[in-house]
Amino acid sequence: MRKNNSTFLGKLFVENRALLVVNFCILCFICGDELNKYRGSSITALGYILGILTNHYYILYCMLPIVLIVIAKHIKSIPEIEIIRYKNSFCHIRQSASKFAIWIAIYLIMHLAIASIIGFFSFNSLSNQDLIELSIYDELVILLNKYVSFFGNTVAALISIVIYMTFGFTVLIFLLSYINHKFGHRKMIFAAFIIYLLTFAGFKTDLKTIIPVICFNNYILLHHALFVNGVLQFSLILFSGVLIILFSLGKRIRIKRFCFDEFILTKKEVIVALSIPIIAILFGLLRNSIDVDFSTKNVITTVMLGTSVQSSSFISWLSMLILYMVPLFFVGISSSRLNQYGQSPLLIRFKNKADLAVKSEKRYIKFMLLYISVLAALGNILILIPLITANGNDQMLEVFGIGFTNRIFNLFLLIFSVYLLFDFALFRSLSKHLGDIVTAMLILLGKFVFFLLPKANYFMFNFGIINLYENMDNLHELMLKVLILAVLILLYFSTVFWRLHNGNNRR
Amino acid sequence: MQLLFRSMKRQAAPTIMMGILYAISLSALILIMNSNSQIYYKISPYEYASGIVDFFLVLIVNIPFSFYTFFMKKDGFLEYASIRTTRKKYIATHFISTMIMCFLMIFVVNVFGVVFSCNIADLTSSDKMPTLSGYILGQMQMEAPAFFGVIWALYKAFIFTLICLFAQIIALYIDNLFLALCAPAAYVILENFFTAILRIERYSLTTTFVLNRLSPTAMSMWNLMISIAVFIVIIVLTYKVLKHRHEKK
Repeated sequence: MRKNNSTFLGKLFVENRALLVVNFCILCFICGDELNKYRGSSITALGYILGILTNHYYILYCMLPIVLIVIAKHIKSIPEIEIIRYKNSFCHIRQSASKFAIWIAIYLIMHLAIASIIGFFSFNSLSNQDLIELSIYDELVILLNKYVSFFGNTVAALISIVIYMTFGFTVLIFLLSYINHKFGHRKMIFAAFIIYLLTFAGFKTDLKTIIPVICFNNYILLHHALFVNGVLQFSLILFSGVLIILFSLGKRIRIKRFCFDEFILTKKEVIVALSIPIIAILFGLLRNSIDVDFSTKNVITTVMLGTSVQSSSFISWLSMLILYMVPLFFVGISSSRLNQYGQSPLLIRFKNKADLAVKSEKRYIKFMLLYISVLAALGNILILIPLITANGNDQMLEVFGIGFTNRIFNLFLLIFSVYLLFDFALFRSLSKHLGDIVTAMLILLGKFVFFLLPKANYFMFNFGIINLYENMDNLHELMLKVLILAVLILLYFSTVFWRLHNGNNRR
Repeated sequence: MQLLFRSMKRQAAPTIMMGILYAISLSALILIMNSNSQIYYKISPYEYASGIVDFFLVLIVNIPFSFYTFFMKKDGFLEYASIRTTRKKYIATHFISTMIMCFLMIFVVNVFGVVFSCNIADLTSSDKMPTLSGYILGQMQMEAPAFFGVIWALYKAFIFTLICLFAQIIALYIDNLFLALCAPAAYVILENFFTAILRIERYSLTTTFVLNRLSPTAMSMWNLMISIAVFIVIIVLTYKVLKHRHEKK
């Protein structure tokens, strides 16, 4: 350890000595209490230490507030002028937060040491038995056994807990340092208070499973993140923690250069558009993962199910409506911007108006292909996961007798792409005469009428997975309908390109 | 006060037009529902019909008013108005007048809808009639539908006044016409969808304005209050963020 680091760590311990003495006194009291409770049981010394480090009441009511106070004092004590010694403010945050993360690791090792001293002097340390047997019901013992059976042995469980808690507190320090740098110390205190409230709300309610990434207890309590939420949400929590750290270090997606593509449809708009189906699927995963017969494949069939004459559900219809309307919504925004700045001198670089129109159509097509590719990637991965994990639950197989495979999904996606492009062509051709807003409303109204009167929906607009399954015996007719729509789409695009080559040559 | 009345007068034409459109579609659907469904209570045709129209109601309270607000800013009218009165006062008066007109439109059309439903309801009697008693004011829905209709119309008008305010704020600060006019509807649709996916539809804004949408236990007063409070917080946040962004420009 470098000298300045050890000086810093020592200083932090000395400055907060009163708080730490109180903290370790409470820890000793809890150790004594647990000692009294488990003295006659078959618990080993390592099991006892594990029990101390998984005591969520101690962590949330004692350790977390103390760490928050130490962080707040530490951040306040950093002289702002020191920033001139660094390349930029993010380097400053990285340096100060990394040092603090080391302090947190030492602080947790001290916990481990105190619990070990008491544990090894009071319990049998040579027993090979990791699982604890107790005749009466004890929540803590069940939890400890869960840890041991998940990680294989107690030592691995202990190491994982300490590493995870260090990770959680590191996320916290990075986040608070960033808030302090961006909004000032008072707002940082306010943010710390909100984080504590969310932690408490997550601990006491189901919020920790509904929106796990915002409840901080999931970042420091491994059993909340892993056992209560499940592996999938745990990965999401880890991922969001890493994202928070990267964000606090100034790592962002940056737009490197301006071009007409960027003017027509900005990267920010593309990201927002793509994130809507991703969020929908993620929410579906989060909410359904607690079900007993959970399968990732069923999330895709739920989000993209759609409606038909036999099955009419408003939420399924709404879900498909959103998937079809999201790209059109952003095309509408872009089109409105083009109208707004259509006379800008910047556009003089284009040969003529038709050239701009073709350029924008190409950009929209690229955007829609990207949108479809994201859906394809997400869907195929989620269908493959049950094959790897051998969780074969398939609701489509149960209902229709045909399993939902990658082949069927890709066939659905192909038809979905035609319907999406048809909606796009309809939107573009009508909006030239009626305006974007009226056209969007008309498409919405049309889809709603077809939802209310499904028998009138001959062409199956708002096509979902259920429509494909119901037409499996009659695929030729379905393909004929899709072909008619494909011809109409081709007609639209040929008109646009024809105008570029011929229309603008007219004098 | 004079400014407020003038502003209200200006909003009268779009309010009446959209009000008539809303009333016609609501009455037509009440007639269809009355002939197509089994009606156990006088309020039922209105309940079924309004559930359908409510999907588009956000657009009805948004587009006519927001259109005016958007172009008031875009054409630079606010710069001229600020010669006679402060810009803040003018905008506040305009918002208040819009909200009053929106409130009146929703209130009048819904009272009309309930009264119309009570008059034409073709009641069916059955031993296994579903009861509405579990819902808020459920007994009143069954026994005094017209009186309930007035209370419900007041409540619904309040919710849509909030949505109208949200739309006004967006229209004032966003430069893109399509986004300014469609964003509130997009918000309500997405919020409805995401809360449904997360299985917390009891806290959705849509649940607050669709009569008897979920089971009686899910539609408790507390849940409705939470949804409204969350929406108010979102309005305030949107206002703060958009204003901050506008001032930065």
